[in-house]
Amino acid sequence: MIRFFADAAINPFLWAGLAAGVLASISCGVIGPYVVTRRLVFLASALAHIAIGGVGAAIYLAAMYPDAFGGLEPIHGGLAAALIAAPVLAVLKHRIKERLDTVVGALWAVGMSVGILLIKITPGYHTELMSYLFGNISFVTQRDLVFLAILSAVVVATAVVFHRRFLALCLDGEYAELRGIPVLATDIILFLLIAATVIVLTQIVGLILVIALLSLPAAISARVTTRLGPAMTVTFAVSALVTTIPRIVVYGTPVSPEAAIVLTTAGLYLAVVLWRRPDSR
Amino acid sequence: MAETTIIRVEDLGFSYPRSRGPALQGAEFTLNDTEWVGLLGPNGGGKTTLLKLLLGQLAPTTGRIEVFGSPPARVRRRVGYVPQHAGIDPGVPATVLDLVLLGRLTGSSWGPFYPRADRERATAALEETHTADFADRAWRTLSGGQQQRVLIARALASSADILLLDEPTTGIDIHREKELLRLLERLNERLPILMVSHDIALVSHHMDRALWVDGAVHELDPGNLDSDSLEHLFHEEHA
Repeated sequence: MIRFFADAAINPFLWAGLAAGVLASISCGVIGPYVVTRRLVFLASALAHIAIGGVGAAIYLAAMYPDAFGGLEPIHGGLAAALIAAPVLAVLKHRIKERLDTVVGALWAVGMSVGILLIKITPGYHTELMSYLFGNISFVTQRDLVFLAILSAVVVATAVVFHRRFLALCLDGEYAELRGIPVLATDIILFLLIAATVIVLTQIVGLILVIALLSLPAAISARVTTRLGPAMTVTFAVSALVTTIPRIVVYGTPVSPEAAIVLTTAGLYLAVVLWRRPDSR
Repeated sequence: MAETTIIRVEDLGFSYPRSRGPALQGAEFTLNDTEWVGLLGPNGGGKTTLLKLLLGQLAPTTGRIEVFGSPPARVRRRVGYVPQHAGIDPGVPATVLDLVLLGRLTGSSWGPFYPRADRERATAALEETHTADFADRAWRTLSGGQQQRVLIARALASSADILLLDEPTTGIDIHREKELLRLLERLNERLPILMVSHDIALVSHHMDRALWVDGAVHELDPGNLDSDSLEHLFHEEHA
Protein backbone atom coordinates (compact mmCIF):
# COMPACT_ATOMS: atom_id res chain seq x y z
CA MET A 1 0.00 0.00 0.00
CA ILE A 2 2.82 2.39 0.93
CA ARG A 3 4.54 1.49 -2.33
CA PHE A 4 1.44 2.55 -4.27
CA PHE A 5 1.48 6.05 -2.81
CA ALA A 6 5.25 6.33 -3.21
CA ASP A 7 5.00 5.39 -6.89
CA ALA A 8 1.88 7.51 -7.41
CA ALA A 9 3.98 10.61 -6.70
CA ILE A 10 5.91 9.98 -9.91
CA ASN A 11 3.45 7.90 -11.96
CA PRO A 12 0.26 9.76 -12.98
CA PHE A 13 -1.23 6.55 -14.43
CA LEU A 14 -1.86 5.31 -10.89
CA TRP A 15 -4.02 8.33 -10.04
CA ALA A 16 -5.74 8.08 -13.41
CA GLY A 17 -6.66 4.45 -12.62
CA LEU A 18 -8.22 5.50 -9.32
CA ALA A 19 -10.07 8.39 -10.96
CA ALA A 20 -11.37 6.01 -13.62
CA GLY A 21 -12.71 3.74 -10.87
CA VAL A 22 -14.59 6.58 -9.20
CA LEU A 23 -15.97 7.86 -12.52
CA ALA A 24 -17.15 4.39 -13.51
CA SER A 25 -18.73 4.03 -10.07
CA ILE A 26 -21.05 6.94 -10.84
CA SER A 27 -22.59 5.17 -13.84
CA CYS A 28 -22.50 1.89 -11.97
CA GLY A 29 -24.29 3.46 -8.98
CA VAL A 30 -27.08 4.86 -11.13
CA ILE A 31 -27.63 1.97 -13.56
CA GLY A 32 -26.69 -1.04 -11.40
CA PRO A 33 -29.85 -0.89 -9.20
CA TYR A 34 -32.08 -0.80 -12.30
CA VAL A 35 -30.26 -3.82 -13.75
CA VAL A 36 -30.60 -5.84 -10.55
CA THR A 37 -34.18 -4.90 -9.69
CA ARG A 38 -35.42 -5.41 -13.27
CA ARG A 39 -33.53 -8.75 -13.36
CA LEU A 40 -31.58 -7.69 -16.43
CA VAL A 41 -28.20 -9.12 -15.38
CA PHE A 42 -28.27 -11.77 -18.12
CA LEU A 43 -29.21 -9.25 -20.80
CA ALA A 44 -26.52 -6.84 -19.56
CA SER A 45 -23.98 -9.69 -19.75
CA ALA A 46 -25.09 -10.31 -23.32
CA LEU A 47 -24.49 -6.63 -24.14
CA ALA A 48 -20.95 -6.85 -22.73
CA HIS A 49 -20.12 -9.91 -24.80
CA ILE A 50 -21.77 -8.61 -27.99
CA ALA A 51 -19.55 -5.52 -27.55
CA ILE A 52 -16.53 -7.77 -28.20
CA GLY A 53 -17.79 -8.01 -31.80
CA GLY A 54 -17.51 -4.23 -32.02
CA VAL A 55 -14.03 -4.26 -30.48
CA GLY A 56 -12.96 -6.78 -33.14
CA ALA A 57 -14.57 -4.73 -35.91
CA ALA A 58 -12.77 -1.56 -34.75
CA ILE A 59 -9.39 -3.34 -34.62
CA TYR A 60 -10.00 -4.80 -38.09
CA LEU A 61 -11.15 -1.54 -39.68
CA ALA A 62 -8.29 0.48 -38.13
CA ALA A 63 -5.71 -2.03 -39.41
CA MET A 64 -7.19 -2.64 -42.87
CA TYR A 65 -8.38 0.89 -43.68
CA PRO A 66 -6.06 3.22 -41.75
CA ASP A 67 -6.90 6.22 -43.90
CA ALA A 68 -10.58 6.08 -43.03
CA PHE A 69 -10.53 4.39 -39.61
CA GLY A 70 -6.99 4.99 -38.32
CA GLY A 71 -8.29 6.97 -35.34
CA LEU A 72 -10.85 4.34 -34.37
CA GLU A 73 -10.18 2.92 -30.89
CA PRO A 74 -11.38 -0.60 -30.02
CA ILE A 75 -13.55 0.88 -27.23
CA HIS A 76 -15.41 2.99 -29.81
CA GLY A 77 -16.28 -0.18 -31.71
CA GLY A 78 -17.40 -1.83 -28.48
CA LEU A 79 -19.60 1.15 -27.65
CA ALA A 80 -21.15 1.15 -31.15
CA ALA A 81 -21.87 -2.60 -31.01
CA ALA A 82 -23.39 -2.33 -27.53
CA LEU A 83 -25.56 0.65 -28.53
CA ILE A 84 -26.81 -1.19 -31.62
CA ALA A 85 -27.50 -4.37 -29.64
CA ALA A 86 -29.31 -2.54 -26.79
CA PRO A 87 -32.57 -1.73 -28.63
CA VAL A 88 -32.53 -5.17 -30.27
CA LEU A 89 -32.37 -6.86 -26.87
CA ALA A 90 -35.07 -4.55 -25.48
CA VAL A 91 -37.42 -5.43 -28.34
CA LEU A 92 -36.66 -9.15 -27.95
CA LYS A 93 -37.41 -8.92 -24.22
CA HIS A 94 -40.86 -7.49 -24.99
CA ARG A 95 -41.74 -9.55 -28.03
CA ILE A 96 -40.40 -13.03 -27.21
CA LYS A 97 -42.41 -14.63 -24.44
CA GLU A 98 -40.65 -17.99 -24.46
CA ARG A 99 -37.03 -19.04 -24.76
CA LEU A 100 -35.71 -15.48 -24.54
CA ASP A 101 -32.58 -16.82 -22.85
CA THR A 102 -31.84 -19.09 -25.84
CA VAL A 103 -32.14 -16.24 -28.35
CA VAL A 104 -30.08 -13.86 -26.20
CA GLY A 105 -27.48 -16.59 -25.61
CA ALA A 106 -27.18 -17.07 -29.37
CA LEU A 107 -26.68 -13.31 -29.94
CA TRP A 108 -24.10 -13.27 -27.14
CA ALA A 109 -22.11 -16.08 -28.78
CA VAL A 110 -22.44 -14.61 -32.28
CA GLY A 111 -21.18 -11.20 -31.07
CA MET A 112 -18.12 -12.78 -29.43
CA SER A 113 -17.46 -15.02 -32.43
CA VAL A 114 -17.56 -12.08 -34.85
CA GLY A 115 -15.06 -10.23 -32.64
CA ILE A 116 -12.69 -13.20 -32.44
CA LEU A 117 -13.00 -13.83 -36.20
CA LEU A 118 -12.24 -10.22 -37.14
CA ILE A 119 -9.25 -10.06 -34.80
CA LYS A 120 -7.94 -13.36 -36.19
CA ILE A 121 -8.00 -12.09 -39.80
CA THR A 122 -6.51 -8.71 -38.88
CA PRO A 123 -2.78 -8.66 -39.69
CA GLY A 124 -0.39 -8.31 -36.74
CA TYR A 125 -0.57 -9.20 -33.05
CA HIS A 126 -3.19 -7.35 -31.00
CA THR A 127 -2.34 -7.15 -27.35
CA GLU A 128 -4.97 -4.47 -26.76
CA LEU A 129 -7.69 -7.09 -27.09
CA MET A 130 -6.60 -8.64 -23.80
CA SER A 131 -6.96 -5.30 -22.01
CA TYR A 132 -10.53 -4.97 -23.29
CA LEU A 133 -11.38 -8.49 -22.27
CA PHE A 134 -9.74 -8.46 -18.84
CA GLY A 135 -9.28 -4.75 -18.13
CA ASN A 136 -6.18 -2.66 -17.68
CA ILE A 137 -6.74 -0.19 -14.90
CA SER A 138 -3.00 0.42 -14.60
CA PHE A 139 -2.80 2.19 -17.95
CA VAL A 140 -5.77 4.53 -18.05
CA THR A 141 -4.83 7.67 -20.01
CA GLN A 142 -6.13 11.23 -19.73
CA ARG A 143 -8.03 10.63 -22.97
CA ASP A 144 -9.69 7.56 -21.44
CA LEU A 145 -10.69 9.65 -18.44
CA VAL A 146 -12.33 12.28 -20.65
CA PHE A 147 -14.19 9.53 -22.53
CA LEU A 148 -15.33 8.02 -19.20
CA ALA A 149 -16.41 11.39 -17.84
CA ILE A 150 -18.50 12.22 -20.92
CA LEU A 151 -20.15 8.80 -21.00
CA SER A 152 -20.87 8.91 -17.25
CA ALA A 153 -22.38 12.40 -17.55
CA VAL A 154 -24.68 11.27 -20.37
CA VAL A 155 -25.77 8.20 -18.38
CA VAL A 156 -26.48 10.16 -15.19
CA ALA A 157 -28.29 13.04 -16.96
CA THR A 158 -30.54 10.65 -18.90
CA ALA A 159 -31.27 8.56 -15.83
CA VAL A 160 -32.27 11.69 -13.88
CA VAL A 161 -34.76 12.66 -16.60
CA PHE A 162 -36.21 9.14 -16.87
CA HIS A 163 -35.97 8.04 -13.21
CA ARG A 164 -39.70 8.04 -12.41
CA ARG A 165 -40.43 6.02 -15.53
CA PHE A 166 -37.61 3.55 -14.84
CA LEU A 167 -38.83 3.13 -11.26
CA ALA A 168 -42.38 2.54 -12.51
CA LEU A 169 -41.11 -0.22 -14.80
CA CYS A 170 -39.13 -1.74 -11.93
CA LEU A 171 -42.23 -1.76 -9.72
CA ASP A 172 -45.10 -2.66 -12.05
CA GLY A 173 -44.63 -2.41 -15.81
CA GLU A 174 -48.22 -3.33 -16.63
CA TYR A 175 -49.60 -0.57 -14.44
CA ALA A 176 -47.06 1.91 -15.85
CA GLU A 177 -48.39 1.12 -19.32
CA LEU A 178 -51.94 1.76 -18.10
CA ARG A 179 -50.79 5.14 -16.85
CA GLY A 180 -49.62 6.08 -20.34
CA ILE A 181 -45.92 5.24 -20.14
CA PRO A 182 -44.54 3.84 -23.43
CA VAL A 183 -42.94 0.78 -21.87
CA LEU A 184 -40.91 -0.48 -24.84
CA ALA A 185 -39.51 2.97 -25.66
CA THR A 186 -38.59 3.48 -21.99
CA ASP A 187 -36.90 0.09 -21.90
CA ILE A 188 -34.91 0.93 -25.03
CA ILE A 189 -33.57 4.06 -23.29
CA LEU A 190 -32.68 1.99 -20.22
CA PHE A 191 -30.90 -0.63 -22.34
CA LEU A 192 -28.91 2.10 -24.12
CA LEU A 193 -27.80 3.41 -20.71
CA ILE A 194 -26.85 -0.11 -19.65
CA ALA A 195 -24.81 -0.46 -22.86
CA ALA A 196 -22.98 2.81 -22.13
CA THR A 197 -22.33 1.74 -18.53
CA VAL A 198 -20.98 -1.62 -19.67
CA ILE A 199 -18.46 0.23 -21.84
CA VAL A 200 -17.54 2.60 -18.98
CA LEU A 201 -16.91 -0.36 -16.66
CA THR A 202 -14.90 -2.14 -19.35
CA GLN A 203 -12.12 0.38 -18.74
CA ILE A 204 -11.90 -0.88 -15.16
CA VAL A 205 -12.30 -4.66 -15.21
CA GLY A 206 -12.73 -5.63 -18.89
CA LEU A 207 -15.73 -6.96 -20.77
CA ILE A 208 -15.48 -10.46 -19.29
CA LEU A 209 -15.69 -9.24 -15.68
CA VAL A 210 -17.88 -6.20 -16.22
CA ILE A 211 -21.05 -7.88 -15.08
CA ALA A 212 -19.63 -8.35 -11.59
CA LEU A 213 -19.34 -4.59 -11.11
CA LEU A 214 -22.71 -3.93 -12.73
CA SER A 215 -24.60 -6.37 -10.53
CA LEU A 216 -22.82 -7.07 -7.22
CA PRO A 217 -22.61 -3.54 -5.74
CA ALA A 218 -26.29 -3.04 -6.64
CA ALA A 219 -27.16 -6.43 -5.14
CA ILE A 220 -25.34 -5.38 -1.94
CA SER A 221 -27.28 -2.11 -1.79
CA ALA A 222 -30.58 -3.94 -2.35
CA ARG A 223 -29.87 -5.82 0.89
CA VAL A 224 -29.38 -2.72 3.00
CA THR A 225 -31.78 -0.14 1.54
CA THR A 226 -35.53 0.11 0.98
CA ARG A 227 -35.63 2.82 -1.68
CA LEU A 228 -34.04 3.13 -5.08
CA GLY A 229 -32.45 6.56 -4.43
CA PRO A 230 -30.46 5.42 -1.38
CA ALA A 231 -29.74 2.15 -3.23
CA MET A 232 -27.99 4.19 -5.93
CA THR A 233 -25.92 6.07 -3.35
CA VAL A 234 -24.85 2.85 -1.63
CA THR A 235 -24.09 1.22 -5.00
CA PHE A 236 -21.89 4.17 -5.93
CA ALA A 237 -20.10 4.05 -2.57
CA VAL A 238 -19.49 0.28 -2.78
CA SER A 239 -18.29 0.57 -6.40
CA ALA A 240 -15.95 3.44 -5.57
CA LEU A 241 -14.60 1.47 -2.60
CA VAL A 242 -13.96 -1.75 -4.48
CA THR A 243 -12.40 -0.03 -7.50
CA THR A 244 -9.89 1.85 -5.33
CA ILE A 245 -8.96 -0.04 -2.13
CA PRO A 246 -8.14 -3.48 -3.67
CA ARG A 247 -6.25 -1.72 -6.44
CA ILE A 248 -4.04 0.00 -3.84
CA VAL A 249 -3.67 -3.08 -1.64
CA VAL A 250 -2.49 -5.46 -4.37
CA TYR A 251 -0.22 -2.91 -6.02
CA GLY A 252 3.28 -4.32 -6.44
CA THR A 253 2.11 -7.90 -5.89
CA PRO A 254 1.51 -10.54 -8.61
CA VAL A 255 -2.27 -10.28 -8.02
CA SER A 256 -4.13 -8.72 -10.96
CA PRO A 257 -5.95 -5.55 -9.79
CA GLU A 258 -8.98 -6.39 -11.96
CA ALA A 259 -9.33 -9.84 -10.35
CA ALA A 260 -8.80 -8.25 -6.91
CA ILE A 261 -11.64 -5.77 -7.61
CA VAL A 262 -14.08 -8.49 -8.66
CA LEU A 263 -13.12 -10.91 -5.86
CA THR A 264 -13.42 -8.17 -3.23
CA THR A 265 -16.86 -7.22 -4.56
CA ALA A 266 -17.98 -10.85 -4.53
CA GLY A 267 -16.61 -11.26 -0.98
CA LEU A 268 -18.48 -8.16 0.18
CA TYR A 269 -21.69 -9.46 -1.38
CA LEU A 270 -21.30 -12.82 0.34
CA ALA A 271 -20.70 -11.06 3.67
CA VAL A 272 -23.82 -8.90 3.27
CA VAL A 273 -25.93 -11.92 2.25
CA LEU A 274 -24.82 -13.75 5.40
CA TRP A 275 -25.28 -10.65 7.57
CA ARG A 276 -28.60 -9.43 6.27
CA ARG A 277 -31.44 -11.48 4.92
CA PRO A 278 -33.86 -9.71 2.52
CA ASP A 279 -36.77 -9.61 4.95
CA SER A 280 -34.85 -8.45 7.98
CA ARG A 281 -35.66 -4.79 7.22
CA MET B 1 -80.88 13.23 -8.41
CA ALA B 2 -80.72 11.68 -11.89
CA GLU B 3 -78.21 8.88 -12.34
CA THR B 4 -75.51 9.19 -14.97
CA THR B 5 -74.38 6.29 -17.12
CA ILE B 6 -70.65 5.78 -16.64
CA ILE B 7 -70.16 2.59 -18.66
CA ARG B 8 -72.20 1.66 -21.72
CA VAL B 9 -71.47 -1.62 -23.49
CA GLU B 10 -73.40 -2.46 -26.68
CA ASP B 11 -73.23 -5.71 -28.67
CA LEU B 12 -69.63 -6.18 -27.53
CA GLY B 13 -67.62 -9.02 -29.03
CA PHE B 14 -63.96 -9.92 -28.64
CA SER B 15 -61.81 -12.75 -30.01
CA TYR B 16 -58.16 -13.35 -29.15
CA PRO B 17 -55.91 -13.86 -32.18
CA ARG B 18 -55.71 -17.53 -33.24
CA SER B 19 -58.38 -18.57 -30.74
CA ARG B 20 -61.11 -21.05 -31.72
CA GLY B 21 -64.05 -18.89 -30.73
CA PRO B 22 -64.90 -15.49 -29.28
CA ALA B 23 -64.07 -14.78 -25.64
CA LEU B 24 -67.10 -12.44 -25.53
CA GLN B 25 -70.07 -12.12 -27.84
CA GLY B 26 -73.09 -9.79 -27.88
CA ALA B 27 -72.37 -8.38 -24.41
CA GLU B 28 -74.61 -5.51 -23.31
CA PHE B 29 -74.83 -3.68 -20.00
CA THR B 30 -74.58 -0.29 -18.36
CA LEU B 31 -73.18 0.94 -15.06
CA ASN B 32 -74.44 4.08 -13.34
CA ASP B 33 -72.52 6.52 -11.19
CA THR B 34 -73.87 5.26 -7.87
CA GLU B 35 -73.70 1.54 -8.49
CA TRP B 36 -71.58 -1.28 -7.18
CA VAL B 37 -71.86 -4.10 -9.69
CA GLY B 38 -70.41 -7.59 -9.35
CA LEU B 39 -69.10 -9.68 -12.23
CA LEU B 40 -69.59 -13.40 -11.63
CA GLY B 41 -68.83 -16.25 -13.96
CA PRO B 42 -66.77 -19.38 -14.51
CA ASN B 43 -62.98 -19.31 -15.01
CA GLY B 44 -62.25 -18.45 -18.63
CA GLY B 45 -65.73 -16.94 -19.01
CA GLY B 46 -64.34 -13.56 -20.09
CA LYS B 47 -64.47 -11.50 -16.87
CA THR B 48 -60.84 -10.36 -16.99
CA THR B 49 -61.12 -9.88 -20.78
CA LEU B 50 -64.10 -7.61 -20.14
CA LEU B 51 -62.06 -5.58 -17.63
CA LYS B 52 -59.19 -5.26 -20.12
CA LEU B 53 -61.66 -4.04 -22.76
CA LEU B 54 -63.05 -1.50 -20.30
CA LEU B 55 -59.49 -0.33 -19.58
CA GLY B 56 -58.71 0.03 -23.28
CA GLN B 57 -55.94 -2.57 -23.07
CA LEU B 58 -57.85 -4.61 -25.67
CA ALA B 59 -59.95 -3.29 -28.56
CA PRO B 60 -63.40 -4.77 -29.26
CA THR B 61 -63.73 -7.03 -32.30
CA THR B 62 -67.36 -5.98 -32.65
CA GLY B 63 -69.71 -3.61 -30.87
CA ARG B 64 -69.02 -0.55 -28.78
CA ILE B 65 -67.78 0.44 -25.32
CA GLU B 66 -68.14 3.90 -23.85
CA VAL B 67 -66.64 4.93 -20.53
CA PHE B 68 -67.59 8.47 -19.50
CA GLY B 69 -68.98 8.80 -23.04
CA SER B 70 -65.60 8.10 -24.71
CA PRO B 71 -63.63 5.09 -25.95
CA PRO B 72 -61.90 3.52 -22.90
CA ALA B 73 -58.33 4.21 -24.04
CA ARG B 74 -59.06 7.97 -23.99
CA VAL B 75 -60.26 8.04 -20.39
CA ARG B 76 -57.87 5.54 -18.87
CA ARG B 77 -56.66 8.09 -16.33
CA ARG B 78 -60.15 8.40 -14.88
CA VAL B 79 -60.36 4.66 -14.25
CA GLY B 80 -58.81 3.23 -11.09
CA TYR B 81 -57.83 -0.39 -11.68
CA VAL B 82 -56.96 -2.94 -9.01
CA PRO B 83 -55.63 -6.12 -10.66
CA GLN B 84 -56.08 -9.63 -9.30
CA HIS B 85 -52.34 -10.29 -9.39
CA ALA B 86 -50.38 -7.07 -9.16
CA GLY B 87 -47.15 -7.53 -11.09
CA ILE B 88 -45.19 -5.89 -8.29
CA ASP B 89 -41.70 -7.23 -7.87
CA PRO B 90 -41.17 -7.77 -4.11
CA GLY B 91 -37.42 -7.38 -4.55
CA VAL B 92 -37.58 -3.79 -5.74
CA PRO B 93 -36.14 -1.36 -3.17
CA ALA B 94 -39.22 0.83 -2.96
CA THR B 95 -41.71 1.81 -0.28
CA VAL B 96 -45.48 1.56 -0.25
CA LEU B 97 -45.61 5.32 -0.90
CA ASP B 98 -43.47 4.86 -4.03
CA LEU B 99 -45.96 2.27 -5.20
CA VAL B 100 -49.00 4.46 -4.53
CA LEU B 101 -47.29 7.35 -6.33
CA LEU B 102 -47.49 5.26 -9.50
CA GLY B 103 -51.13 6.33 -9.50
CA ARG B 104 -49.91 9.89 -10.15
CA LEU B 105 -47.69 8.85 -13.05
CA THR B 106 -48.68 10.20 -16.46
CA GLY B 107 -47.21 10.25 -19.95
CA SER B 108 -45.81 13.69 -19.15
CA SER B 109 -44.00 12.69 -15.94
CA TRP B 110 -40.31 13.55 -16.28
CA GLY B 111 -37.51 14.02 -13.78
CA PRO B 112 -36.55 12.17 -10.63
CA PHE B 113 -39.17 13.39 -8.14
CA TYR B 114 -42.95 13.61 -7.90
CA PRO B 115 -44.29 17.13 -7.28
CA ARG B 116 -45.48 17.94 -3.77
CA ALA B 117 -49.15 17.92 -4.86
CA ASP B 118 -48.74 14.33 -6.12
CA ARG B 119 -47.18 13.24 -2.85
CA GLU B 120 -50.00 14.87 -0.90
CA ARG B 121 -52.60 13.14 -3.08
CA ALA B 122 -50.88 9.76 -2.60
CA THR B 123 -50.68 10.31 1.17
CA ALA B 124 -54.39 11.22 1.24
CA ALA B 125 -55.19 8.00 -0.64
CA LEU B 126 -53.17 6.00 1.91
CA GLU B 127 -55.07 7.70 4.73
CA GLU B 128 -58.42 7.02 3.07
CA THR B 129 -57.61 3.31 2.88
CA HIS B 130 -56.15 3.27 6.43
CA THR B 131 -52.72 2.32 5.15
CA ALA B 132 -50.85 5.55 5.94
CA ASP B 133 -48.85 3.71 8.63
CA PHE B 134 -47.33 1.51 5.92
CA ALA B 135 -46.11 4.40 3.76
CA ASP B 136 -42.43 3.80 4.51
CA ARG B 137 -42.60 0.02 4.58
CA ALA B 138 -41.55 -2.36 1.83
CA TRP B 139 -44.42 -3.87 -0.18
CA ARG B 140 -43.38 -7.45 0.56
CA THR B 141 -43.73 -6.93 4.32
CA LEU B 142 -47.50 -6.35 4.01
CA SER B 143 -50.17 -9.03 4.42
CA GLY B 144 -52.54 -9.91 1.56
CA GLY B 145 -55.33 -7.68 2.92
CA GLN B 146 -52.94 -4.78 3.48
CA GLN B 147 -51.59 -5.17 -0.06
CA GLN B 148 -55.12 -5.03 -1.50
CA ARG B 149 -55.87 -1.84 0.41
CA VAL B 150 -52.61 -0.31 -0.84
CA LEU B 151 -53.55 -1.22 -4.43
CA ILE B 152 -56.90 0.50 -3.89
CA ALA B 153 -54.97 3.51 -2.53
CA ARG B 154 -52.91 3.52 -5.75
CA ALA B 155 -56.12 3.52 -7.79
CA LEU B 156 -57.54 6.36 -5.66
CA ALA B 157 -54.30 8.35 -5.94
CA SER B 158 -54.93 8.57 -9.67
CA SER B 159 -58.04 10.66 -8.89
CA ALA B 160 -60.15 7.88 -10.34
CA ASP B 161 -63.84 8.45 -11.07
CA ILE B 162 -64.62 4.71 -11.14
CA LEU B 163 -63.00 1.61 -9.64
CA LEU B 164 -62.51 -1.66 -11.52
CA LEU B 165 -61.46 -4.46 -9.20
CA ASP B 166 -60.44 -7.97 -10.22
CA GLU B 167 -61.12 -10.43 -7.37
CA PRO B 168 -59.74 -8.20 -4.59
CA THR B 169 -60.82 -10.58 -1.79
CA THR B 170 -59.02 -13.66 -3.12
CA GLY B 171 -56.50 -15.08 -0.67
CA ILE B 172 -57.30 -12.85 2.30
CA ASP B 173 -58.81 -13.96 5.60
CA ILE B 174 -62.42 -13.28 6.62
CA HIS B 175 -61.50 -10.45 9.01
CA ARG B 176 -59.47 -8.59 6.36
CA GLU B 177 -62.20 -9.28 3.81
CA LYS B 178 -64.74 -7.54 6.06
CA GLU B 179 -62.41 -4.56 6.47
CA LEU B 180 -61.92 -4.39 2.71
CA LEU B 181 -65.66 -4.55 2.01
CA ARG B 182 -66.33 -1.78 4.54
CA LEU B 183 -63.75 0.33 2.73
CA LEU B 184 -65.39 -0.39 -0.64
CA GLU B 185 -68.83 0.44 0.76
CA ARG B 186 -67.48 3.79 1.91
CA LEU B 187 -65.83 4.45 -1.46
CA ASN B 188 -69.05 3.50 -3.26
CA GLU B 189 -70.69 6.52 -1.63
CA ARG B 190 -68.73 8.65 -4.11
CA LEU B 191 -67.49 6.21 -6.78
CA PRO B 192 -69.14 3.55 -8.95
CA ILE B 193 -67.46 0.14 -8.62
CA LEU B 194 -67.30 -2.81 -11.00
CA MET B 195 -65.82 -5.82 -9.26
CA VAL B 196 -65.02 -9.36 -10.38
CA SER B 197 -65.68 -11.95 -7.70
CA HIS B 198 -66.29 -15.67 -7.31
CA ASP B 199 -68.01 -15.18 -3.96
CA ILE B 200 -71.78 -15.37 -4.47
CA ALA B 201 -72.58 -14.43 -0.86
CA LEU B 202 -70.36 -11.35 -1.05
CA VAL B 203 -71.99 -10.20 -4.28
CA SER B 204 -75.56 -10.77 -3.03
CA HIS B 205 -74.93 -8.97 0.29
CA HIS B 206 -72.96 -5.96 -0.82
CA MET B 207 -73.66 -5.15 -4.45
CA ASP B 208 -76.54 -3.42 -6.21
CA ARG B 209 -76.48 -5.66 -9.23
CA ALA B 210 -74.64 -8.69 -10.54
CA LEU B 211 -73.67 -9.68 -14.07
CA TRP B 212 -72.97 -13.25 -15.15
CA VAL B 213 -70.10 -13.31 -17.65
CA ASP B 214 -69.66 -16.54 -19.58
CA GLY B 215 -68.94 -15.59 -23.19
CA ALA B 216 -72.06 -13.40 -23.02
CA VAL B 217 -73.23 -11.08 -20.24
CA HIS B 218 -76.49 -11.74 -18.35
CA GLU B 219 -78.13 -9.61 -15.70
CA LEU B 220 -78.60 -11.42 -12.36
CA ASP B 221 -80.87 -10.56 -9.49
CA PRO B 222 -78.53 -10.20 -6.49
CA GLY B 223 -81.46 -10.86 -4.15
CA ASN B 224 -81.93 -14.34 -5.56
CA LEU B 225 -78.38 -15.45 -6.00
CA ASP B 226 -77.39 -18.93 -4.94
CA SER B 227 -75.00 -21.56 -6.24
CA ASP B 228 -77.86 -23.72 -7.62
CA SER B 229 -79.28 -20.95 -9.80
CA LEU B 230 -75.77 -20.08 -11.09
CA GLU B 231 -75.04 -23.74 -11.78
CA HIS B 232 -78.29 -23.94 -13.70
CA LEU B 233 -77.28 -20.83 -15.68
CA PHE B 234 -73.85 -22.31 -16.35
CA HIS B 235 -75.34 -25.56 -17.75
CA GLU B 236 -77.85 -23.60 -19.79
CA GLU B 237 -75.02 -21.57 -21.35
CA HIS B 238 -72.99 -24.65 -22.19
CA ALA B 239 -75.86 -26.83 -23.39
